[in-house]
Amino acid sequence: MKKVNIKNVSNIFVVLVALIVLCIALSIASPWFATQKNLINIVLQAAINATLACGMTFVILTGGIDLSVGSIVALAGIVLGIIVKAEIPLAAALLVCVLIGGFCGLVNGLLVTRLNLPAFIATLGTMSIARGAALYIAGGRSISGFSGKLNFIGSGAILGIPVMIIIMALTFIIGMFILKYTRTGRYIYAIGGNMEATRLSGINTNFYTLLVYIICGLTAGLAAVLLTARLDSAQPVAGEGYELDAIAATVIGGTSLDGGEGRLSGTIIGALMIAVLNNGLNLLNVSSYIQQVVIGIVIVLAVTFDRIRSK
Amino acid sequence: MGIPIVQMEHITVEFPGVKALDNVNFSLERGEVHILLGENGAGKSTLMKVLSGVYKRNAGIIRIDGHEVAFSGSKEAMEAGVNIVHQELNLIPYLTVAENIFLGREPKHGAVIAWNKLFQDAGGILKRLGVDINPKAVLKTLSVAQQQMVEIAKCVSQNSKVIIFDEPTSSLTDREIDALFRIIEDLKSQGVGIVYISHRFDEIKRIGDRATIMRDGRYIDTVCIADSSIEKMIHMMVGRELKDMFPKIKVPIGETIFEARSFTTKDKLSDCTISVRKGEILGLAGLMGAGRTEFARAIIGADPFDSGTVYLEGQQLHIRTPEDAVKKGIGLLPEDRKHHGLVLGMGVSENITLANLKKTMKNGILNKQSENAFANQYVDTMKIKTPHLMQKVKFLSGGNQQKVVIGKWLMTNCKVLIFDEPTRGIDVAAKSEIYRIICDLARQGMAIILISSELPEILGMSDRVVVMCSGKIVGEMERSEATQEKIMHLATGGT
Amino acid sequence: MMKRLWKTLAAILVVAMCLSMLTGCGGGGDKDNGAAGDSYKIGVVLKSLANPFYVTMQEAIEAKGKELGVQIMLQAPEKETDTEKQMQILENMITQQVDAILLAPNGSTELAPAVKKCNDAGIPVIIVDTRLDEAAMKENGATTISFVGSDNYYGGQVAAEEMKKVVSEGKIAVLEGISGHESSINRVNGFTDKIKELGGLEIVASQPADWDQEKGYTVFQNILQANPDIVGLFAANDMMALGAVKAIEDAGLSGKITVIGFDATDDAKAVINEGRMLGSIAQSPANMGTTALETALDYLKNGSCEEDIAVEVVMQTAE
Repeated sequence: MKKVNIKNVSNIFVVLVALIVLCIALSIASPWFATQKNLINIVLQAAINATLACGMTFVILTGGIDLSVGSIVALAGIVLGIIVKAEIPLAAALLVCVLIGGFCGLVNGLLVTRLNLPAFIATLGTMSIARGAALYIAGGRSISGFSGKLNFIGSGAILGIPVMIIIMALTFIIGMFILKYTRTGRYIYAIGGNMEATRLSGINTNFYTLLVYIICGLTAGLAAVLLTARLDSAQPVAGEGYELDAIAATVIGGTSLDGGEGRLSGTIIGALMIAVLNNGLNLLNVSSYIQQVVIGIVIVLAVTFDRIRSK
Repeated sequence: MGIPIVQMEHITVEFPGVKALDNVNFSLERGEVHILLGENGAGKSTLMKVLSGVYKRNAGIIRIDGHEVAFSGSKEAMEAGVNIVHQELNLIPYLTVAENIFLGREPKHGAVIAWNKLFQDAGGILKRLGVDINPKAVLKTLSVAQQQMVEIAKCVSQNSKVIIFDEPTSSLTDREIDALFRIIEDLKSQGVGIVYISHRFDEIKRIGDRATIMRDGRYIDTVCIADSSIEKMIHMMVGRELKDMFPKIKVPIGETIFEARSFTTKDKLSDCTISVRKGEILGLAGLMGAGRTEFARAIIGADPFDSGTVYLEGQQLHIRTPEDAVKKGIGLLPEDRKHHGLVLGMGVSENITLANLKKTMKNGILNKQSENAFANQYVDTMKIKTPHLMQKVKFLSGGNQQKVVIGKWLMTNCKVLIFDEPTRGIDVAAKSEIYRIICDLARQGMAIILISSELPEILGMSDRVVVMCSGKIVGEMERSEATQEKIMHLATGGT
Repeated sequence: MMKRLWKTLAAILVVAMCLSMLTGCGGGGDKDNGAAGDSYKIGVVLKSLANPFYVTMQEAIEAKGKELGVQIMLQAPEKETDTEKQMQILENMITQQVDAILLAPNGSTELAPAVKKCNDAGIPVIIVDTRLDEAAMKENGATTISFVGSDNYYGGQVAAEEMKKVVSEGKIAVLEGISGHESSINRVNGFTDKIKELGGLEIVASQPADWDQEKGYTVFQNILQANPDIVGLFAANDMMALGAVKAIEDAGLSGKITVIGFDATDDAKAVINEGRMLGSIAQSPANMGTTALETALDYLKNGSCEEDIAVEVVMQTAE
């Protein structure tokens, strides 16, 4: 056996081990944790954040960031709420909701690639714009009364698996396929690793950068569908702080904020990690103040480990 | 001569898993220029980092002026009079020249910086060095060469006993190199000991007194430069005879296939035209800043330009982005390999296939096996030394990195390749291999433009030489009529 | 080597999950039997513990629970707008098989599906403080057994009367809570209805500041820009009132504007005692919490309880 060097150990591997250890510890600490229902609940509770984090991973892989996703969730959700009530066929309404997210992503991408704004600033701007638009369109009020049209997505199940989880899983499968088996995926890593070298290799880096923001917007639109369906209402103040949870899941999952390194499998584990912590601390009846402290510590530990490893 | 100013005996440094230095000896006399010679990775920089307190040694003794010392950091080394002029500049871009020179040692009135004295002192030092730099200028407005002078001024101002130059000329023009050598002579006459790390033998012959040769972290020999031939020193460096540095092969030269006509940009280029024939290597010579890199980048559409057209095989091309250029078969191997040529965090095979990933795909998706098969082909033909295809290129040596870049372009079936300083920072043995590859490509009928600041390289490799000066093409000559003197004459603005 | 390690780990993960599921199910069953004993387990979900109002309620419920020998499981999201997090907490409480749930909902429509989940699990739900939207409840087929809340409309009326006593005429403004929140609507309606009835005072601005102190500051600062001659302010909670008081003082208008808040939090009481604010309508979060807990126990023991309980409010002024 070779001596194990910390630099050779994949970050995802470490987070996975941490997750397993945490699960085992929680099953001992709480008799309810390891029940089938609770485990499904955990994945359900992770679904929205994981879906957002999927798109966020694409953006972060190119070395960018998208702070606007939480607001996009609210805006797309409000639009969905209005058009579902307007008797438009459900499939069309859902498509419009996802496309609204994609459109917001397009705007982000154009700001970053055409106006050369730093992603942090560009998406900070659209974060405020989308939130304001959502509040304006909704008149500040929640929208409800979908007469059960969204119930299948929000609380339905296929073969015992909640539809929300299926949608999340499909999102990840598509995302993983793109990253692993398409040129787009390879170019995304290359752009994050070295934008200029990639451009000089004859790759339209602007196009692919634009694309990752669109992908991130689309997943935000999808998350809006999930959230609206789950709550059976659309709220203009929904999704506040979701961008930070999504970034946390991505980073805990081992994706480097500098870009070029990371995997979606890590992001899933990161999202599950957050959900397990929330759920476990709930079950143990830990004060909600302490819960925030614990999540913060986990993020710091994950990034610290990443830094040590890449030194 | 008295006691040597620096004596290093039996120095050993171990990094996890590697012996970076193994029982190395080194000594430096007062008023001596001592050259450190060795291929990349031979341990020259490591040895100097031990001397300047950056690295700790695992064994061995260091004496300065006969007293044993153990520096625990570069600050202590500086206080003892040991200074290093780094390859990568350690200056603060937004401060003035004077502030940089006296950083941390500013003259003060009480608690306030005495600005007048600061600027006067800095001006005095710069004048003594014979360089014309305004001490009030903000550092980032200076050229790289001027910044290097500031770094040198910083060392001189500290009353150094020992100054270490780590490849100081890699970004300097010949005129600036002359100035630097004058400064070194001056320091020498004041009794300062100089350690000089370089790959360029013409410089070594010019200023060196003695040379210590290292190989693979071991001490090989110390020789007096006046008495030893370059061949002998190279032999000690590489451990074998290098018969033919420039393996130029006679290749039948065909039709003109590439022409870049009338390239002009706002401030860097004016009306530049060059053409290359099939199988020809065109040397593009000139001083640093003459506009060669800018010309190359404009040709492939990497930077915007005002006017200029590219013709390939008689057809006019419309190139606006590197994407257009690559599609048409024109590739650039940039001068800054690490920042523009490679994705350092990616593997060897991923870098090789980057520019033509489509070729490796099967059934419309990426296929690892097919990708590796393609990459392997280039790893084999170019003898890229890598433990495996997944190895991140940042862990490869400079020469192997450059071969990976070349491999990437070979995969695109380019018709025209522009090499911008392809051998910068690459050790002698790898250089020769890169030359062989370039000649091979020409033989296969590729048209090649070779940008280089090293005249021996231009003369040894080119079929034809074009010289640039201040953004203009100022001369052209066939291989048979090209000489160093002619090229330098043109490059420095003579007519 | 890495690949093998991965596969091994994946296998361990699956085995661990399966094992824990098996043992977990068994464990859950045991607990079921245990819960049939005397000690009830009550889940409490509050809006947010960043608001002192709910901290007071938390303390009262926990104290009362101890007194009655009832186990209290209390959780709250970080933000008062976070409905999804409340849903997660409810799901987790269902998992823990609590006997009843007290819920102070962060949204009137958004929590309906979550209440339905409680219904499906056979757990009675008592709503505290903010009413749920009836249409949304009906649509989701969700039911609750009782509502325990302040008489907000009456509180608004009391505030209007007190305002009229101090300033008989002039322009006044209102800071509302998050749009659509039932308690905000009732407080504001109570206030405005009574002001109209009393006459002499004119409401020139009524804007939402989302229950938030920071927003209370900025929104009222903006209102002052437009209407520098305002003489009175009613804020639908104390957080917003405190923000507005700061805005007034920063504008150099101390003492010129009469401010009445709602909730009578400790922070507000201090400010009232310093004379910087006239008063606050005191809801009694403690009273509300303990009433709700007693109602739940009542239901668990007798199978029925009162459906709508109004907890009284009073105007609290300087002591």
